[in-house]
Amino acid sequence: MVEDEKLVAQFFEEHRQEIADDGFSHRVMSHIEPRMRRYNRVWSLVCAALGVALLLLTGCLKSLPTLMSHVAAGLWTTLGGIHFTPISPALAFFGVIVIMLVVAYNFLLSDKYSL
Amino acid sequence: MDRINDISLVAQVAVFHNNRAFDKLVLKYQSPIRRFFLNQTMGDGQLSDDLAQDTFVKAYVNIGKYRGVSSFSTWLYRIAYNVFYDYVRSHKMTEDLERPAVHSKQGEHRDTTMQMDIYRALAILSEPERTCITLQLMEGQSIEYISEITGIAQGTVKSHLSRGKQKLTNYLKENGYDGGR
Repeated sequence: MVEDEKLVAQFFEEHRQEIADDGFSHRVMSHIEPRMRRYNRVWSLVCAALGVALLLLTGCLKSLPTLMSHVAAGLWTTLGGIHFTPISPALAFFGVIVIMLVVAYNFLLSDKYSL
Repeated sequence: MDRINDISLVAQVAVFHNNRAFDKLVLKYQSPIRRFFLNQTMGDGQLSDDLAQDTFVKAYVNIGKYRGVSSFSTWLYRIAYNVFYDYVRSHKMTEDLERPAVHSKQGEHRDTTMQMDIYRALAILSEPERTCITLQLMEGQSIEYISEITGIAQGTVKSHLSRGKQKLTNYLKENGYDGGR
């Protein structure tokens, strides 16, 4: 009985094959990426829709222009109060904007799949 | 150590959506999972790859549900098992798999003669016997893990293994296989 089990085990051991990847994992990852992008887009749309609905229902939309002008004025006043000679406040403001755009660009690039 | 590495990679995928980490898991387990499907589908390479791809996609989508109680390979095999039987139920393949016909769709890199022998041998088994036998003798899973993967009670797994091995022993002896003695 033990010999018979060894016979079967040996047969399977001889026929056990390792399968080369041959691009299989790449195909799997290529299939996953578009699917997850779709999920992310749907989720982003849902969150955006909820945000807009919240703005409309609470009436914050009407106050938004006033709020934005107060924020901009406050930011400009703050920058004006900082003495960055020879750097002007406007230059510092644009420098911050450029840095934010670079960070956002790198963030969007990092989301793209690459091996 | 191996299990810790797997858990580390799973955590990176689940928490940080690190696709490179998941790619490492796919590279590590693509061979045993594809081999599992090849044995269940009697050598249908195209179908095996499709089912294996479905398995890994399901694993990725449900990665957050892996709790680390069992090993990642056991969890993956469980998904593969469910994928296969979902396919069988949906395509009513049972009768085709029971027939001792061997699929001719095989990759060029595989030894056709050797693969026909293994699939002809597996064809004499029932589906549960084939699954249990290949999980134990090809994939090295214990009875406990086979029970976990298939949801079959351990006693029943032992019965399937015993009957399957008896059938295979008779088949091998009838076909002149003596293990090189």
